[in-house]
Amino acid sequence: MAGSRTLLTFADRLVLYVIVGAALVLLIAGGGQGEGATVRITGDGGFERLAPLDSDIRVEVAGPLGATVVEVAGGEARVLSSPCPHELCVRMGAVRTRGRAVVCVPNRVVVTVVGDGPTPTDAVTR
Amino acid sequence: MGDAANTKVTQSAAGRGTTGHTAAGRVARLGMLLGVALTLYAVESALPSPFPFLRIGLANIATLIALITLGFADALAVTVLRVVVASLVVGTFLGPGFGLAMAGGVAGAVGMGLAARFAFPPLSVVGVSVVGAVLHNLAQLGVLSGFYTGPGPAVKLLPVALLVSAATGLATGLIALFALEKLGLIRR
Repeated sequence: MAGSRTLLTFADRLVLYVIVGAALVLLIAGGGQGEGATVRITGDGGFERLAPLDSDIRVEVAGPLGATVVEVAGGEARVLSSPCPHELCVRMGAVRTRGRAVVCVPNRVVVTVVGDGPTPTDAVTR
Repeated sequence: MGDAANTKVTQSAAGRGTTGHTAAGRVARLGMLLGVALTLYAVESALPSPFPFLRIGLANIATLIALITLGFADALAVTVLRVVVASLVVGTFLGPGFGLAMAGGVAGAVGMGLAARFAFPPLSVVGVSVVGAVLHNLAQLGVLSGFYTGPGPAVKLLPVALLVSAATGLATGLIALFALEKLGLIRR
């Protein structure tokens, strides 16, 4: 045993430095892109409105029962109020991950998160 | 860096690794290493982890020891059998996670096999382990983006996966190095 100095060879260290360096470069290069997630709001009669998930807007969507108010704020989208009888869409709360949606069936409003946002876990490797 | 040349496999020289030379001895050692791999896998499953995808890869120690003492074919066998047996026990055989585990395991074993074959004198056991860990994670991200999520999340996870595999490859490589030394199978 010549001491801990000889645990790693020069080539070992080189490999480690290259990997960590590549990771840091990728982190810095990818940092500026941000989240590309978009909220798609659709309604009766072909209504469609797209908005970035990180925007701050409120949209009134006209439906057969009246106006459903959709809010995008704080990186989340939710239905604030709706004229439908049970207001299930309001109770569904906010969505922020890609593929998640809030739907109001009676008033035919669909709020979906599309694009490059994070996806919820659906499998775990063991 | 003069220590690089001192790293030698002393499989027969130590007089204790000679069981690998007979067919029965090879099968016995292969079975033992599979047992080690499955035990390490079980131990690791019991360890708490902040993220489900963050794993140290302790079972890789058995693959690495098989590679150094028995050769590439046996290392691959230990890896494939470990993934299959573990998934049968846990109940994820042929499930979505199974493909990820198998791809990662095979890629890691192949990567370590190539590193051991062509770069083992400059690299030590630890360096070989790091190469395996990186390829393991790259293969998993590749399968993930190819079959499940598309390239978006994999690109975002890539730097994290590289950092994680550098750390876990270092950790498992050092453990394997110490184990090989204690067993008298390798000398520095």
